[in-house]
Amino acid sequence: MRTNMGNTDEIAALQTFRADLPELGERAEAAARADLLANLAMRPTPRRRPVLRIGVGLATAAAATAVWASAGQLTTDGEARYSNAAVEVAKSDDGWTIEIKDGSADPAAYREALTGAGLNVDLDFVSALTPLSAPDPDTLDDGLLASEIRIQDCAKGDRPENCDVVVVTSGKAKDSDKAETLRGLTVAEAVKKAEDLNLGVSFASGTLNASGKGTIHIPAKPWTPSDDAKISGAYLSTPTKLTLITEETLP
Amino acid sequence: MVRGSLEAPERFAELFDRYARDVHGYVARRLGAQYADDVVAETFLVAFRRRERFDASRDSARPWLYGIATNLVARHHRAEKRFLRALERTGVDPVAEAFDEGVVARVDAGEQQRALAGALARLSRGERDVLLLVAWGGLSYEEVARTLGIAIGTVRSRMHRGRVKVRAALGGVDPTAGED
Repeated sequence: MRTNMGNTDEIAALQTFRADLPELGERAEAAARADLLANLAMRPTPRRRPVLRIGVGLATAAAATAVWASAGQLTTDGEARYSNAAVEVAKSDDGWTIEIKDGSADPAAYREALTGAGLNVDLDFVSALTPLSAPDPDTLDDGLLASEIRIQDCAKGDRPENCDVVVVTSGKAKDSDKAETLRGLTVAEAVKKAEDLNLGVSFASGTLNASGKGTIHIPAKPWTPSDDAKISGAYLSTPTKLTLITEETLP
Repeated sequence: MVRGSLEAPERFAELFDRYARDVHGYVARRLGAQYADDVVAETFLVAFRRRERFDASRDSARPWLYGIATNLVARHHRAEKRFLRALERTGVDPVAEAFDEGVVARVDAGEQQRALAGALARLSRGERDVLLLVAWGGLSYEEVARTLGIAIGTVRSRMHRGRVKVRAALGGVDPTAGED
Protein backbone atom coordinates (compact mmCIF):
# COMPACT_ATOMS: atom_id res chain seq x y z
CA MET A 1 0.00 0.00 0.00
CA ARG A 2 1.44 3.31 -1.01
CA THR A 3 1.51 6.03 1.56
CA ASN A 4 2.79 9.55 1.50
CA MET A 5 2.40 10.18 5.18
CA GLY A 6 5.16 8.34 6.90
CA ASN A 7 4.19 4.76 7.46
CA THR A 8 0.72 5.59 8.64
CA ASP A 9 -2.02 3.86 6.81
CA GLU A 10 -5.67 4.58 7.29
CA ILE A 11 -6.70 0.99 7.96
CA ALA A 12 -4.07 0.69 10.67
CA ALA A 13 -5.25 4.00 12.08
CA LEU A 14 -8.84 2.78 12.08
CA GLN A 15 -7.79 -0.36 13.91
CA THR A 16 -6.67 1.81 16.81
CA PHE A 17 -10.03 3.56 16.94
CA ARG A 18 -11.96 2.50 20.05
CA ALA A 19 -9.63 -0.49 20.25
CA ASP A 20 -9.38 -0.31 24.01
CA LEU A 21 -13.03 -0.86 24.83
CA PRO A 22 -13.47 -3.70 27.29
CA GLU A 23 -14.57 -7.06 25.94
CA LEU A 24 -17.91 -8.59 26.71
CA GLY A 25 -17.62 -9.65 30.34
CA GLU A 26 -18.01 -13.27 31.36
CA ARG A 27 -21.10 -12.60 33.43
CA ALA A 28 -22.74 -10.60 30.68
CA GLU A 29 -21.85 -13.29 28.15
CA ALA A 30 -23.31 -16.01 30.36
CA ALA A 31 -26.50 -13.99 30.79
CA ALA A 32 -26.79 -13.39 27.07
CA ARG A 33 -26.20 -17.08 26.39
CA ALA A 34 -28.95 -18.04 28.82
CA ASP A 35 -31.31 -15.58 27.16
CA LEU A 36 -30.47 -16.99 23.77
CA LEU A 37 -31.13 -20.55 24.86
CA ALA A 38 -34.43 -19.52 26.42
CA ASN A 39 -35.42 -17.81 23.20
CA LEU A 40 -34.37 -20.75 21.08
CA ALA A 41 -36.45 -23.04 23.22
CA MET A 42 -39.48 -20.92 22.37
CA ARG A 43 -38.67 -20.99 18.65
CA PRO A 44 -38.12 -24.64 17.83
CA THR A 45 -39.11 -24.38 14.21
CA PRO A 46 -37.49 -22.10 11.64
CA ARG A 47 -40.14 -19.95 10.13
CA ARG A 48 -40.42 -17.24 7.62
CA ARG A 49 -41.39 -13.82 8.76
CA PRO A 50 -44.96 -13.04 7.77
CA VAL A 51 -45.42 -10.75 4.85
CA LEU A 52 -46.97 -7.34 5.16
CA ARG A 53 -49.27 -6.12 2.47
CA ILE A 54 -50.87 -2.75 2.31
CA GLY A 55 -54.17 -2.44 0.55
CA VAL A 56 -55.89 -4.72 -1.87
CA GLY A 57 -54.38 -3.82 -5.15
CA LEU A 58 -51.00 -5.19 -5.83
CA ALA A 59 -47.58 -4.42 -6.61
CA THR A 60 -46.94 -3.18 -10.02
CA ALA A 61 -43.92 -0.99 -10.40
CA ALA A 62 -45.38 2.24 -9.22
CA ALA A 63 -43.40 5.28 -10.25
CA ALA A 64 -43.56 7.01 -6.94
CA THR A 65 -41.78 10.30 -6.75
CA ALA A 66 -39.81 10.98 -3.66
CA VAL A 67 -39.44 14.56 -2.61
CA TRP A 68 -36.66 15.57 -0.31
CA ALA A 69 -38.69 17.93 1.74
CA SER A 70 -36.12 20.08 3.41
CA ALA A 71 -35.03 22.91 1.26
CA GLY A 72 -31.61 24.28 1.85
CA GLN A 73 -30.04 21.22 3.38
CA LEU A 74 -28.46 20.10 0.17
CA THR A 75 -25.98 22.68 -0.74
CA THR A 76 -25.04 22.15 -4.35
CA ASP A 77 -24.81 25.57 -5.89
CA GLY A 78 -26.86 26.81 -8.79
CA GLU A 79 -29.58 25.20 -10.82
CA ALA A 80 -29.36 21.45 -10.96
CA ARG A 81 -31.39 19.38 -13.35
CA TYR A 82 -30.51 16.25 -15.19
CA SER A 83 -32.65 13.94 -17.22
CA ASN A 84 -32.01 10.74 -19.07
CA ALA A 85 -34.22 7.87 -20.17
CA ALA A 86 -34.27 6.40 -16.70
CA VAL A 87 -34.66 9.26 -14.32
CA GLU A 88 -35.07 12.98 -13.98
CA VAL A 89 -33.38 14.81 -11.15
CA ALA A 90 -34.33 18.39 -10.46
CA LYS A 91 -33.95 20.92 -7.71
CA SER A 92 -37.13 22.61 -6.68
CA ASP A 93 -38.20 25.00 -3.96
CA ASP A 94 -38.96 22.00 -1.78
CA GLY A 95 -35.62 20.35 -2.27
CA TRP A 96 -34.69 17.69 -4.79
CA THR A 97 -37.23 15.80 -6.81
CA ILE A 98 -36.10 12.53 -8.31
CA GLU A 99 -38.57 10.91 -10.66
CA ILE A 100 -38.05 7.38 -11.85
CA LYS A 101 -39.05 7.12 -15.49
CA ASP A 102 -37.79 3.62 -16.14
CA GLY A 103 -37.75 1.34 -13.16
CA SER A 104 -35.84 -1.37 -14.97
CA ALA A 105 -32.95 0.78 -16.17
CA ASP A 106 -29.34 -0.07 -15.53
CA PRO A 107 -28.27 1.32 -12.15
CA ALA A 108 -25.55 3.20 -14.01
CA ALA A 109 -28.27 5.37 -15.54
CA TYR A 110 -29.45 6.50 -12.11
CA ARG A 111 -25.90 7.11 -11.01
CA GLU A 112 -25.25 9.15 -14.16
CA ALA A 113 -28.30 11.34 -13.57
CA LEU A 114 -27.51 12.00 -9.93
CA THR A 115 -23.92 12.83 -10.71
CA GLY A 116 -25.04 14.99 -13.63
CA ALA A 117 -27.26 16.99 -11.32
CA GLY A 118 -24.39 17.59 -8.96
CA LEU A 119 -25.21 14.86 -6.47
CA ASN A 120 -21.97 12.97 -6.28
CA VAL A 121 -23.24 10.34 -3.94
CA ASP A 122 -23.02 6.67 -3.28
CA LEU A 123 -25.98 4.59 -4.33
CA ASP A 124 -27.35 1.74 -2.31
CA PHE A 125 -29.98 -0.51 -3.77
CA VAL A 126 -32.45 -1.82 -1.25
CA SER A 127 -34.72 -4.68 -2.12
CA ALA A 128 -38.07 -3.35 -1.18
CA LEU A 129 -41.42 -2.66 -2.60
CA THR A 130 -43.91 -0.39 -4.09
CA PRO A 131 -45.88 1.71 -1.68
CA LEU A 132 -48.58 -0.93 -1.91
CA SER A 133 -46.79 -3.87 -0.45
CA ALA A 134 -44.19 -4.46 2.16
CA PRO A 135 -42.92 -7.99 1.71
CA ASP A 136 -40.10 -9.63 3.54
CA PRO A 137 -37.06 -9.12 1.29
CA ASP A 138 -36.47 -12.85 1.36
CA THR A 139 -39.78 -13.47 -0.33
CA LEU A 140 -39.35 -11.04 -3.19
CA ASP A 141 -39.56 -12.16 -6.75
CA ASP A 142 -36.60 -11.62 -8.98
CA GLY A 143 -36.55 -8.78 -11.46
CA LEU A 144 -37.04 -5.95 -9.04
CA LEU A 145 -37.81 -2.54 -10.45
CA ALA A 146 -36.61 0.74 -9.09
CA SER A 147 -39.53 2.73 -7.79
CA GLU A 148 -37.97 5.47 -5.79
CA ILE A 149 -34.73 7.19 -4.93
CA ARG A 150 -34.36 8.64 -1.50
CA ILE A 151 -31.72 10.91 -0.08
CA GLN A 152 -31.56 10.51 3.62
CA ASP A 153 -29.59 10.82 6.77
CA CYS A 154 -28.40 14.35 6.08
CA ALA A 155 -27.52 16.57 8.95
CA LYS A 156 -28.06 20.28 8.52
CA GLY A 157 -25.28 21.73 6.45
CA ASP A 158 -24.12 18.39 5.15
CA ARG A 159 -22.89 18.23 1.62
CA PRO A 160 -24.96 15.86 -0.48
CA GLU A 161 -22.15 13.37 -0.85
CA ASN A 162 -22.30 12.84 2.89
CA CYS A 163 -25.87 11.67 2.70
CA ASP A 164 -27.08 8.17 2.05
CA VAL A 165 -28.86 7.73 -1.24
CA VAL A 166 -31.02 4.70 -1.53
CA VAL A 167 -32.70 3.34 -4.62
CA VAL A 168 -35.75 1.45 -3.49
CA THR A 169 -36.72 -1.40 -5.73
CA SER A 170 -40.17 -2.80 -6.05
CA GLY A 171 -41.22 -6.38 -6.02
CA LYS A 172 -44.08 -8.72 -5.46
CA ALA A 173 -44.33 -10.94 -2.45
CA LYS A 174 -44.27 -14.60 -3.34
CA ASP A 175 -46.18 -15.57 -0.28
CA SER A 176 -48.97 -13.05 -0.33
CA ASP A 177 -51.53 -15.33 1.32
CA LYS A 178 -49.69 -14.72 4.56
CA ALA A 179 -49.88 -10.98 4.12
CA GLU A 180 -51.31 -8.66 6.68
CA THR A 181 -52.99 -5.43 5.76
CA LEU A 182 -51.62 -2.16 7.05
CA ARG A 183 -53.36 0.33 4.80
CA GLY A 184 -56.15 2.02 6.69
CA LEU A 185 -54.81 1.11 10.10
CA THR A 186 -53.88 3.78 12.59
CA VAL A 187 -50.25 4.55 13.27
CA ALA A 188 -50.46 2.87 16.66
CA GLU A 189 -51.87 -0.32 15.16
CA ALA A 190 -49.33 -0.44 12.35
CA VAL A 191 -46.39 0.18 14.68
CA LYS A 192 -47.54 -2.72 16.84
CA LYS A 193 -47.62 -5.04 13.83
CA ALA A 194 -44.18 -3.89 12.74
CA GLU A 195 -42.80 -4.52 16.22
CA ASP A 196 -44.26 -8.01 16.17
CA LEU A 197 -42.23 -8.61 13.01
CA ASN A 198 -39.01 -7.24 14.51
CA LEU A 199 -39.05 -4.33 12.09
CA GLY A 200 -37.91 -0.87 13.02
CA VAL A 201 -40.22 1.97 12.03
CA SER A 202 -39.87 5.44 10.62
CA PHE A 203 -42.47 7.76 9.19
CA ALA A 204 -43.11 9.75 6.05
CA SER A 205 -46.06 11.78 4.92
CA GLY A 206 -48.08 11.27 1.77
CA THR A 207 -51.29 10.15 0.23
CA LEU A 208 -51.07 7.33 -2.25
CA ASN A 209 -53.85 6.33 -4.57
CA ALA A 210 -55.16 2.82 -4.95
CA SER A 211 -52.49 1.92 -7.48
CA GLY A 212 -49.76 3.06 -5.15
CA LYS A 213 -48.86 6.22 -7.00
CA GLY A 214 -48.40 9.47 -5.23
CA THR A 215 -45.86 11.72 -3.68
CA ILE A 216 -44.03 10.85 -0.53
CA HIS A 217 -42.58 13.59 1.62
CA ILE A 218 -39.66 12.38 3.66
CA PRO A 219 -39.00 14.49 6.73
CA ALA A 220 -35.57 15.95 7.19
CA LYS A 221 -35.54 14.89 10.82
CA PRO A 222 -37.16 11.91 12.50
CA TRP A 223 -40.82 12.69 12.84
CA THR A 224 -43.67 10.88 14.54
CA PRO A 225 -47.26 11.50 13.54
CA SER A 226 -50.14 11.19 15.95
CA ASP A 227 -51.14 7.68 17.00
CA ASP A 228 -54.50 7.90 15.29
CA ALA A 229 -53.22 9.09 11.91
CA LYS A 230 -54.16 6.75 9.06
CA ILE A 231 -51.64 4.65 7.16
CA SER A 232 -51.67 5.36 3.44
CA GLY A 233 -48.85 3.04 2.40
CA ALA A 234 -45.55 1.61 3.49
CA TYR A 235 -42.28 0.34 2.22
CA LEU A 236 -39.21 -1.37 3.55
CA SER A 237 -36.51 1.25 3.63
CA THR A 238 -33.94 -1.33 4.66
CA PRO A 239 -34.33 -5.06 5.14
CA THR A 240 -35.02 -4.39 8.80
CA LYS A 241 -36.88 -1.12 8.76
CA LEU A 242 -40.37 -0.23 7.65
CA THR A 243 -41.30 3.29 6.63
CA LEU A 244 -44.96 4.00 7.25
CA ILE A 245 -46.54 6.65 5.05
CA THR A 246 -49.27 8.48 6.86
CA GLU A 247 -51.86 10.94 5.65
CA GLU A 248 -50.85 13.41 8.34
CA THR A 249 -48.89 16.30 6.87
CA LEU A 250 -45.43 17.22 8.05
CA PRO A 251 -45.26 20.09 10.52
CA MET B 1 -22.18 -26.40 13.16
CA VAL B 2 -24.93 -24.31 11.63
CA ARG B 3 -26.19 -27.25 9.64
CA GLY B 4 -26.07 -29.40 12.73
CA SER B 5 -28.27 -26.93 14.51
CA LEU B 6 -31.06 -27.60 12.03
CA GLU B 7 -31.63 -30.93 13.65
CA ALA B 8 -30.38 -30.03 17.12
CA PRO B 9 -31.08 -26.39 17.91
CA GLU B 10 -29.22 -26.60 21.19
CA ARG B 11 -26.05 -26.94 19.14
CA PHE B 12 -26.64 -23.41 18.05
CA ALA B 13 -25.38 -22.29 21.43
CA GLU B 14 -21.95 -23.52 20.34
CA LEU B 15 -22.03 -20.87 17.68
CA PHE B 16 -22.70 -18.28 20.34
CA ASP B 17 -19.83 -19.54 22.47
CA ARG B 18 -17.45 -19.33 19.56
CA TYR B 19 -18.38 -15.96 18.09
CA ALA B 20 -20.44 -13.87 20.52
CA ARG B 21 -17.46 -12.06 21.98
CA ASP B 22 -16.11 -11.15 18.55
CA VAL B 23 -19.44 -9.90 17.26
CA HIS B 24 -20.07 -7.99 20.46
CA GLY B 25 -16.71 -6.28 20.18
CA TYR B 26 -17.43 -5.20 16.63
CA VAL B 27 -20.89 -3.84 17.44
CA ALA B 28 -19.71 -2.17 20.64
CA ARG B 29 -17.06 -0.26 18.71
CA ARG B 30 -19.77 1.05 16.43
CA LEU B 31 -22.58 1.73 18.88
CA GLY B 32 -21.44 1.25 22.45
CA ALA B 33 -22.10 -1.51 24.95
CA GLN B 34 -25.75 -0.85 25.58
CA TYR B 35 -26.75 -1.13 21.94
CA ALA B 36 -24.30 -3.99 21.46
CA ASP B 37 -25.99 -6.19 24.05
CA ASP B 38 -29.29 -5.94 22.21
CA VAL B 39 -27.84 -6.16 18.72
CA VAL B 40 -25.79 -9.25 19.52
CA ALA B 41 -28.73 -11.00 21.11
CA GLU B 42 -30.82 -10.24 18.06
CA THR B 43 -28.01 -11.25 15.71
CA PHE B 44 -28.04 -14.77 17.07
CA LEU B 45 -31.82 -14.97 17.09
CA VAL B 46 -31.93 -13.86 13.47
CA ALA B 47 -29.16 -16.32 12.63
CA PHE B 48 -31.13 -19.07 14.31
CA ARG B 49 -34.28 -18.20 12.39
CA ARG B 50 -32.37 -18.11 9.13
CA ARG B 51 -30.11 -21.07 9.74
CA GLU B 52 -31.71 -22.98 6.88
CA ARG B 53 -30.41 -20.34 4.52
CA PHE B 54 -26.83 -20.55 5.71
CA ASP B 55 -24.57 -21.55 2.87
CA ALA B 56 -23.00 -24.74 4.16
CA SER B 57 -20.15 -24.36 1.69
CA ARG B 58 -18.85 -21.40 3.67
CA ASP B 59 -15.82 -22.10 5.77
CA SER B 60 -17.02 -20.20 8.79
CA ALA B 61 -20.20 -18.72 10.18
CA ARG B 62 -18.26 -15.71 11.40
CA PRO B 63 -18.68 -13.50 8.30
CA TRP B 64 -22.33 -14.50 8.12
CA LEU B 65 -22.88 -13.35 11.71
CA TYR B 66 -21.00 -10.11 11.05
CA GLY B 67 -23.27 -9.49 8.08
CA ILE B 68 -26.41 -9.97 10.17
CA ALA B 69 -25.00 -7.75 12.91
CA THR B 70 -24.11 -5.07 10.37
CA ASN B 71 -27.66 -5.04 9.04
CA LEU B 72 -28.95 -4.68 12.58
CA VAL B 73 -26.48 -1.88 13.31
CA ALA B 74 -28.09 -0.08 10.36
CA ARG B 75 -31.21 0.41 12.48
CA HIS B 76 -29.15 2.65 14.70
CA HIS B 77 -27.07 4.44 12.10
CA ARG B 78 -28.28 7.84 13.21
CA ALA B 79 -27.11 7.11 16.74
CA GLU B 80 -23.81 5.88 15.35
CA LYS B 81 -23.30 9.12 13.45
CA ARG B 82 -24.39 11.16 16.42
CA PHE B 83 -21.78 9.50 18.63
CA LEU B 84 -19.06 9.97 16.04
CA ARG B 85 -19.89 13.62 15.55
CA ALA B 86 -19.93 14.17 19.30
CA LEU B 87 -16.48 12.64 19.58
CA GLU B 88 -15.21 14.76 16.70
CA ARG B 89 -16.67 17.91 18.19
CA THR B 90 -15.93 17.47 21.88
CA GLY B 91 -13.11 14.92 22.07
CA VAL B 92 -15.19 12.84 24.45
CA ASP B 93 -16.46 9.55 23.11
CA PRO B 94 -20.03 8.68 24.13
CA VAL B 95 -19.34 5.08 23.17
CA ALA B 96 -16.45 4.75 25.61
CA GLU B 97 -18.41 6.60 28.26
CA ALA B 98 -21.18 4.04 27.98
CA PHE B 99 -18.85 1.47 29.51
CA ASP B 100 -19.41 2.43 33.09
CA GLU B 101 -18.17 0.99 36.39
CA GLY B 102 -14.89 2.76 35.93
CA VAL B 103 -13.60 0.24 33.44
CA VAL B 104 -12.67 2.96 31.04
CA ALA B 105 -11.47 6.25 32.33
CA ARG B 106 -12.90 9.27 30.66
CA VAL B 107 -10.04 10.42 28.53
CA ASP B 108 -10.18 13.11 25.95
CA ALA B 109 -9.44 11.68 22.56
CA GLY B 110 -6.39 12.79 20.64
CA GLU B 111 -6.54 14.71 17.42
CA GLN B 112 -6.24 11.60 15.29
CA GLN B 113 -9.16 9.90 17.00
CA ARG B 114 -11.28 13.00 16.56
CA ALA B 115 -10.33 13.21 12.92
CA LEU B 116 -11.16 9.54 12.42
CA ALA B 117 -14.53 10.02 14.09
CA GLY B 118 -15.33 12.91 11.78
CA ALA B 119 -14.27 10.93 8.75
CA LEU B 120 -16.34 7.91 9.74
CA ALA B 121 -19.37 10.11 10.37
CA ARG B 122 -19.11 11.56 6.90
CA LEU B 123 -18.86 8.26 5.09
CA SER B 124 -21.99 6.91 3.53
CA ARG B 125 -23.44 4.00 5.42
CA GLY B 126 -22.34 1.60 2.71
CA GLU B 127 -18.79 2.87 2.80
CA ARG B 128 -18.70 2.70 6.59
CA ASP B 129 -20.03 -0.85 6.68
CA VAL B 130 -17.46 -2.09 4.21
CA LEU B 131 -14.55 -0.25 5.76
CA LEU B 132 -15.34 -1.38 9.30
CA LEU B 133 -16.09 -4.97 8.35
CA VAL B 134 -12.61 -5.10 6.86
CA ALA B 135 -10.78 -3.02 9.48
CA TRP B 136 -12.54 -4.25 12.60
CA GLY B 137 -14.13 -7.51 11.51
CA GLY B 138 -11.12 -8.71 9.60
CA LEU B 139 -13.30 -9.88 6.72
CA SER B 140 -11.91 -10.27 3.24
CA TYR B 141 -13.45 -8.36 0.35
CA GLU B 142 -15.06 -11.59 -0.85
CA GLU B 143 -16.57 -12.22 2.56
CA VAL B 144 -17.90 -8.67 2.76
CA ALA B 145 -19.48 -9.00 -0.68
CA ARG B 146 -21.14 -12.26 0.26
CA THR B 147 -22.39 -11.18 3.65
CA LEU B 148 -23.79 -7.85 2.49
CA GLY B 149 -25.14 -9.26 -0.77
CA ILE B 150 -23.26 -6.79 -2.96
CA ALA B 151 -20.86 -7.21 -5.85
CA ILE B 152 -17.19 -7.42 -5.07
CA GLY B 153 -16.66 -4.46 -7.37
CA THR B 154 -18.96 -2.47 -5.12
CA VAL B 155 -16.92 -3.55 -2.10
CA ARG B 156 -13.73 -2.39 -3.81
CA SER B 157 -15.19 0.95 -4.86
CA ARG B 158 -16.62 1.62 -1.38
CA MET B 159 -13.31 0.66 0.20
CA HIS B 160 -11.49 2.97 -2.14
CA ARG B 161 -13.76 5.92 -1.44
CA GLY B 162 -13.77 5.24 2.27
CA ARG B 163 -10.01 5.00 2.46
CA VAL B 164 -9.57 8.17 0.46
CA LYS B 165 -11.87 10.07 2.81
CA VAL B 166 -10.24 8.70 5.94
CA ARG B 167 -6.80 9.41 4.60
CA ALA B 168 -7.80 12.95 3.74
CA ALA B 169 -9.13 13.45 7.25
CA LEU B 170 -5.80 12.30 8.64
CA GLY B 171 -4.07 14.88 6.53
CA GLY B 172 -2.64 12.54 3.97
CA VAL B 173 -3.22 11.96 0.30
CA ASP B 174 -5.09 9.40 -1.73
CA PRO B 175 -3.56 6.11 -0.56
CA THR B 176 -4.26 4.38 -3.82
CA ALA B 177 -3.01 7.11 -6.12
CA GLY B 178 -0.49 5.68 -8.48
CA GLU B 179 -1.64 2.10 -8.01
CA ASP B 180 -2.46 0.16 -11.08
